[in-house]
Amino acid sequence: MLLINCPFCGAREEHEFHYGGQAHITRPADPEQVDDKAWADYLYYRKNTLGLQAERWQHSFGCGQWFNALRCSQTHQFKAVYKMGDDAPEGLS
Amino acid sequence: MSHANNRLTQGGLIDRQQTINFSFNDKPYTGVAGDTLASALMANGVDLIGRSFKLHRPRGIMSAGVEECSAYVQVGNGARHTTNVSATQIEIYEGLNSRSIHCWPSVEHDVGAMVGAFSRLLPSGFYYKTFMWPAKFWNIYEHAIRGSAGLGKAPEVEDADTYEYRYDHFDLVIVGSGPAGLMAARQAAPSGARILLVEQDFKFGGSLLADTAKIDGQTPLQWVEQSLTELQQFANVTLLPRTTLTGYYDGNFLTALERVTDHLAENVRRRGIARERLWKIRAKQVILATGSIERPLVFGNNDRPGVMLASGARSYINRFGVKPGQKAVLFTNNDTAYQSAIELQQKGVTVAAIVDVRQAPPKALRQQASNHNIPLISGSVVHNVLGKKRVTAVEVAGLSAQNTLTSEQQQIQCDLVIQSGGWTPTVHLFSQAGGKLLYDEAQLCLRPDPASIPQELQSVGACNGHFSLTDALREGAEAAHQALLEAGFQSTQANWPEADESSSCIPQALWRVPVRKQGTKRFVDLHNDVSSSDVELANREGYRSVEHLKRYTATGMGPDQGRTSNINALAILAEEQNSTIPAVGTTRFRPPYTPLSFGAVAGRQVGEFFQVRRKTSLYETHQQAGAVFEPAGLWLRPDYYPLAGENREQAVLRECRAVRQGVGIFDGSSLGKLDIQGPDSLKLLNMLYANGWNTLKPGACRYGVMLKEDGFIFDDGVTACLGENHYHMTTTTGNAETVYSWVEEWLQCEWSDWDVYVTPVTTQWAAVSIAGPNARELLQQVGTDIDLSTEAFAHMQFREGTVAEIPARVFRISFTGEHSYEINVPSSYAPALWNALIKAGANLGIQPFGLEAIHRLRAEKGYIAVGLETDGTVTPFDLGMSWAVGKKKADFLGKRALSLPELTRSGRRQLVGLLTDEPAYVIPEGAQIRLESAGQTRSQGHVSSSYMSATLGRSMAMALLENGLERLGEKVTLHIDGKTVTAQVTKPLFYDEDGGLLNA
Amino acid sequence: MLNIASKSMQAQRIGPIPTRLLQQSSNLKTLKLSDQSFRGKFILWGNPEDSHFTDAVFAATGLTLPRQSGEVTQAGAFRAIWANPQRWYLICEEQDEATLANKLAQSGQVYMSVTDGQCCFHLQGQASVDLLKKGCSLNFSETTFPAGQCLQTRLAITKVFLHRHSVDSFDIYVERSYSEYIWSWLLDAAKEYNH
Repeated sequence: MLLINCPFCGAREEHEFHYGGQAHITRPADPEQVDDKAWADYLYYRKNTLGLQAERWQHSFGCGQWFNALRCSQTHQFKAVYKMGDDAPEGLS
Repeated sequence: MSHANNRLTQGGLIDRQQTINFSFNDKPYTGVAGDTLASALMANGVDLIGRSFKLHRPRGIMSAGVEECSAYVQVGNGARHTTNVSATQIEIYEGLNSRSIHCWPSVEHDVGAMVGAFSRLLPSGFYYKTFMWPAKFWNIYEHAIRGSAGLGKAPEVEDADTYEYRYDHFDLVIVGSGPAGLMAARQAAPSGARILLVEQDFKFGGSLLADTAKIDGQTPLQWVEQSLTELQQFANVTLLPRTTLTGYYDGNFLTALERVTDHLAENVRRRGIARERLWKIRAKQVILATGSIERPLVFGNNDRPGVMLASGARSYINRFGVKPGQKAVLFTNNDTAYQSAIELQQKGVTVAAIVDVRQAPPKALRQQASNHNIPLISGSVVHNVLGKKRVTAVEVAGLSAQNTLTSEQQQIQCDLVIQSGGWTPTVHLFSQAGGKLLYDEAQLCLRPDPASIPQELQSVGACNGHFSLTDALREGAEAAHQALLEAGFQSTQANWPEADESSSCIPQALWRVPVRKQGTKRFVDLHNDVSSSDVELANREGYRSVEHLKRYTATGMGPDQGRTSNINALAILAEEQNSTIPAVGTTRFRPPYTPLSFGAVAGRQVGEFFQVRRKTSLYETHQQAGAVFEPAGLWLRPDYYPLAGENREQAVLRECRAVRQGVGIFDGSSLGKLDIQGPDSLKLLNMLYANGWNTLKPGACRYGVMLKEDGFIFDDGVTACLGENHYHMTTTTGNAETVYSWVEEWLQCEWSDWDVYVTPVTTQWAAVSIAGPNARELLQQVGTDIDLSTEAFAHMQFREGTVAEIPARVFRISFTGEHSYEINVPSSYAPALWNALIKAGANLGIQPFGLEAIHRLRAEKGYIAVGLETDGTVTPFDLGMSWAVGKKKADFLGKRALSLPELTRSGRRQLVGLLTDEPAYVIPEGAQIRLESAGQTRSQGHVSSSYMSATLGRSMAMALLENGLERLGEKVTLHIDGKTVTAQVTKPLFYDEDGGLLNA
Repeated sequence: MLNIASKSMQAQRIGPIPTRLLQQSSNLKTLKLSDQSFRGKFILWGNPEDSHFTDAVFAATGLTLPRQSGEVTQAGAFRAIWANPQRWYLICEEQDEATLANKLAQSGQVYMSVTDGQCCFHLQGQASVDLLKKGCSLNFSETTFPAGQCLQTRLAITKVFLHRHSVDSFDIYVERSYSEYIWSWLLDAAKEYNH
């Protein structure tokens, strides 16, 4: 079980959280201007990074807040958590 | 009954006054407090414990601990039956009932033993090779194989015991209470840090329990006692015996299995106390003091009862006061076992000889052997053991420089062979934690690589490859000091006592003792019957990777997890490949360290606690009305309300007629409800729903369909405008949580600047529906201050007022096709409302109706049910609901996807009605509609809802059919359980086509 | 907002836990478990950075809203519990519910009654923490979870608010349809203390 640092509630066990997949996927501002392939990419295509990846988590059994995290997919280590809307911290590996 | 008595008259950590009766294979025996099943059996002269897994060879006791790979038994009766546990780990209790496994009809006369005689026909991979083909016979083979091999009898009744979890947090967890662990605890205790010391044994002390070396001038036991007395005075220290640390995961998350009641007589196990407690621990710092395990040597017939580890024999004689035999031979390749031989000799076991692989054992040891009159045969090996159910003699021969047997040989009569092939640090938890191991060429063992400490942990003492008592004490103290500082506590200088033992363990490598006779079995893994020739065969057949070797031969895969066999197997594989152990590599250890029961894994989440059964506040009211309940998602909802003598079908048809002809009452409380407020509420509704909301005025309701971004229907429901910027949204029962978290995700992640507030109020409001031609009159009769005239309160309107003097929100909406009201009141008032309506409706023919009736009524009306007519691949257009899609809206979730080629192609399945040619026949839901063309048969659609309709007096169905909307009037064919059914395609609407009843 | 707090209404209310299960809690010897579900409970929404909002709430209720996870504030009969950065639970005794509802209405802010949708149990006794640890992975050490704090967490398989009043007494807030599960779960897990 991972120990996840909710930016609002602090460190809690993984079973209080809901995983939301890849972070920083933004809905195209004007969907009608997006071609079929780009829309399919937005809907279905996700990275599968070996190493540090940005992902979305929700503290579903706690404050209910969504936030982003940088986590290493190899070691499972969380390198950073940051609030929704903030940019991913740089310089981490 | 008389038994041999191997119990010494004094000594050991047992209480001879406190006798305990137990049985083994139906024979009664007596042990004493402090015994394990193994020590008690040994005291009673029982040599033969079981038969081996595959070859059914006789097996005895080979160790005194968790490394046991031979003496496996099953214990307990009926609902407390447990199989495949090692006798060395069972603490005996009054009435303990134990028996052998892997043997039939009895351990003494085992039919399967003849398999042993043909063992050459049963090499590794035999089952795979022989029973692979034809595949369809596997289930027959499997049955026979399991029967003959087996791992004991599976329990036949439900477990009588309960299990639970325990979550906890500690600053420091110390695993193991040997010298290193106890020392660490003593060093750390005064700091005030929260400390947990876990010990798998029922006694603290680890290796000290069988040791004789002095610490600080005290005996080991005195030092253990003193340590415990001291530790018990600290409230911040938790001492947990009978607890195995089974798993080491990321972030110092540990699981530990505490065996709470297994050592108690069954009649004193108190109700409510869990049998096992699975600890789930988050630790700031961990000290692993898990010790080491002695390694056996691989020689001819080394599995015979009476062959055991030297450390095991020492434990029996010192800790349990039991003689493991009368006349012993020690076979060793290192110094450490000499002490065991000497102590056996001192306590009355004749040691006939020490056979040492080394040409020149250290002078001090030679001197000691001679002082105790033990003959020493150096540069020699035990190459074969004689005797079947018990050792009777060993064959000893000289060993040449090329590791072959010399002509020099002798036979020594004995009934006990104690052996030592060196020591293996218990690195399982270190490895589980992610640590890498390095091979120690001198000590011939894998130990933690100090350059790869994976987490906040330290390995100390023998599990770190430092085997001497002095090292263990020093490392324990130093590690505790370090851990405290790391965890932010004060720590005084590390201090440790002197010990008068600093032996080294530098064995001489001899991974396979040569044999004289070809085919003599030399076992590597006793539990899984893997011999050195199996490892050689695997290598010859190309299973050269250690991971393949393990799976092909099953070495190390028994319940003992190869604690004694892994290194030997690796070394033999390396020799076969003319390679080295580091080059061959080792497998990574994985949790659990010792087997976990399914009960412990499940904990309290079984039976009534397996999952939440959500109930509305009307649950007991329904119970009193005789409702039969049905799980719907997590909810328990009334399916129907049978009258005396009615079956389900009769009850449901009656309920349907009551709604169509009089008035029915239905509990819709589980419908999801969201309260939406704020200036951007309307914007939110317009994005969430496919249809438009701009024209919805306060007091009005509207039906909406919700799509996911992929364009497929996700949910539907009615939303009411309660006032300016205030809406009440309903969702389906099953999707309430999903819709709420979906909305929250959009609001938090994408539209965080919108000024809108969503509150889930599903259970704040109970929802009672009344439906039928008499619904309006019922509402009038029960009493309301709302004007119910059609002019004042039309279909799809909402009003606030009182009903039966209870403040209520009333929605004039319908899921049955009848004139209908959904009355919402705060949940705790629902029974009062329900009872008032039942009373007021007595003369209007009121009847409660359940889930099945409402499904039939909505299907008659052609209303879809999310999850039946939709399955995550269905668009609103597929369901003929283009009216529910705001094509002129600039945007809504799912809009863009609706124009993707897949969603607009022709040939998509579309919603239709089906009327069978045989009116009484109800098609099963899920039935496929077949299309036969060009000699091929495929599905062209499926039935989504299907019922007997009370209103139509015949069956009806809804189906999703390719191009269905263009095929009204066509006949289709279904094949159901060998029966051919024909049906006509119709519009999916069977009742009140123009909606006149709703609007009246 | 509906006025549901008039005196004549009280007789018609039913609590979330069936009588049969309520009675089982009297078997507990060293622990006390009681149903307090008729307490008034409201969700209040707003932006704590917006002084119009915080001033309006303070003027109406006297409450200074807590700003961090775990924090609880009290003003007379009213209590505010932090739920998330824009949401608070306001709690009061049953008899004060109508008053609090009126004051919230006066404040002109976004709020919603959840009195009937949320339940509250009170757990007290020496074994309270041991009992909760059977299903809750919080660190109950008094430095990380001091008395006076209220944390949202997971108990067994449900979401709860745990308001710690002292070392060994807690209010447990749980959604109504999950409340019977939690009540029964607590009784079952507490069996070992019934001697």
